[in-house]
Amino acid sequence: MELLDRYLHEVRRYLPPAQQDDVIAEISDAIQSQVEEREQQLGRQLTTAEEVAIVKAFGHPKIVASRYQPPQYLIGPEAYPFYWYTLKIALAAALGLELLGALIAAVLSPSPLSSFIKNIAVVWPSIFLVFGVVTFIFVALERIGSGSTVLAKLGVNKWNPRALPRSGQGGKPLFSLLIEAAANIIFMLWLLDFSPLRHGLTFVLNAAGGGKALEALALTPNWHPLLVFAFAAAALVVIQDFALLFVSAWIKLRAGMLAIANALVVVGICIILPSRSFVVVAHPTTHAIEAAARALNQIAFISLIIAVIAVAISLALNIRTLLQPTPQADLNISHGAGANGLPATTPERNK
Amino acid sequence: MEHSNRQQIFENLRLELRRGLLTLAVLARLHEEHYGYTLRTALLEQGLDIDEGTLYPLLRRLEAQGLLQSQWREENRRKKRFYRLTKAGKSVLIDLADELQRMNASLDRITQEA
Repeated sequence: MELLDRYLHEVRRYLPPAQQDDVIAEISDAIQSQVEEREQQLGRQLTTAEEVAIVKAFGHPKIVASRYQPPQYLIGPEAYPFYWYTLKIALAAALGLELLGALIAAVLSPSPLSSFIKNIAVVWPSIFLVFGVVTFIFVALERIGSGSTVLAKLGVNKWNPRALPRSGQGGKPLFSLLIEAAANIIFMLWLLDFSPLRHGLTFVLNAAGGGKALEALALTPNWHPLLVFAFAAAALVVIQDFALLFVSAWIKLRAGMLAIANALVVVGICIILPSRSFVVVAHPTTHAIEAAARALNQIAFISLIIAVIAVAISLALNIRTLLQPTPQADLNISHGAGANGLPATTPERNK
Repeated sequence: MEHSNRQQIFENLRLELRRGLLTLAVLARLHEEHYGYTLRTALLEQGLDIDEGTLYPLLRRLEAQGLLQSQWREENRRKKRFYRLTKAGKSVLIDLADELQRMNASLDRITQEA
């Protein structure tokens, strides 16, 4: 039957070489048996249309072939949540950096708007690159080094219940606490004019295309009050983080520290806001640089207003925490289970 | 819930239910020798419909696991592949059948309580 031969030939293409002869022989027999049965029922030979119907019912060649292989995934269902989470973070970081670079380049370029649009429009290569790299890594983890599951390779099995966020309000996972503390320490070092940081920052800004202009601009002394307050605030945050590392109680004390930190920043910004002059041209150069300086001043002004609002909100939340009555003990896992497995008491949680 | 939606959900659950049971049925039938076509007909006679797209790969998997053995034989000028249980297959079949009985009993008790 010519149709059958063409069908079998196609299915064969998609089968692994070792299995081809076997599987094709089997399918050939299966279809021919069907044809024979039909012919017996009808008492005559089948028309082409009827043969076509039988072959079609058997299935698409590629699908038929794939049934002879184990289920195949690019990223397995177990690893998928981790893959997705990692991808989101990586994309957010990449896009964030792109945005930052575009903003800086835009501010320092003669035509900010077109520069910004141009830089944003070419963000696609980054997105594809991040997507490709993260996917590639997870696919590789899945296939290389057989004998352990992907989750084992990711170290998921070693997770430690003790590293979970502390109970009680303001609990944070260990990892994010350390990151926050580190970021604030870096910020404090920068304020103290720690030179490797200065070099690093200049390097980044140069890479974003703003090198020359950067040399010509300087921060005005108006910033100083804010910087002092910001330093103190950062110090408080660091202390609070380390306190949280060791003691999950002291909720009020920690909230108090954060409140003071936020208040310092608010006050600091309010002090420098009226001056309206944040960036000056160090030595007069081109019109473009001066225009950039004016633009930067306006941007700084607006950013500071936004910042003060955000910090004020944060401060309000801190104060609310301070004013709340102390929360009751959390669900006590050790002595809660009654005969029916439910906790003995359901404590009230203050929300 | 829309009727068609419910139908779809039922179909999916039904498929999962059948998957395990069909394997047991195939193993049970292969106490005697069959090739794909006769096996399918035999199951159909007892009210179990399984289409070839599922049956043949299942037979290969069970053989790869050592529960079946196969032989190519010429019949009516065509080569057919005959399957039958191996010793391992027989013992696994017995265990599976026991397990099914146990689960049925539990299920009866559970549904009676409900």
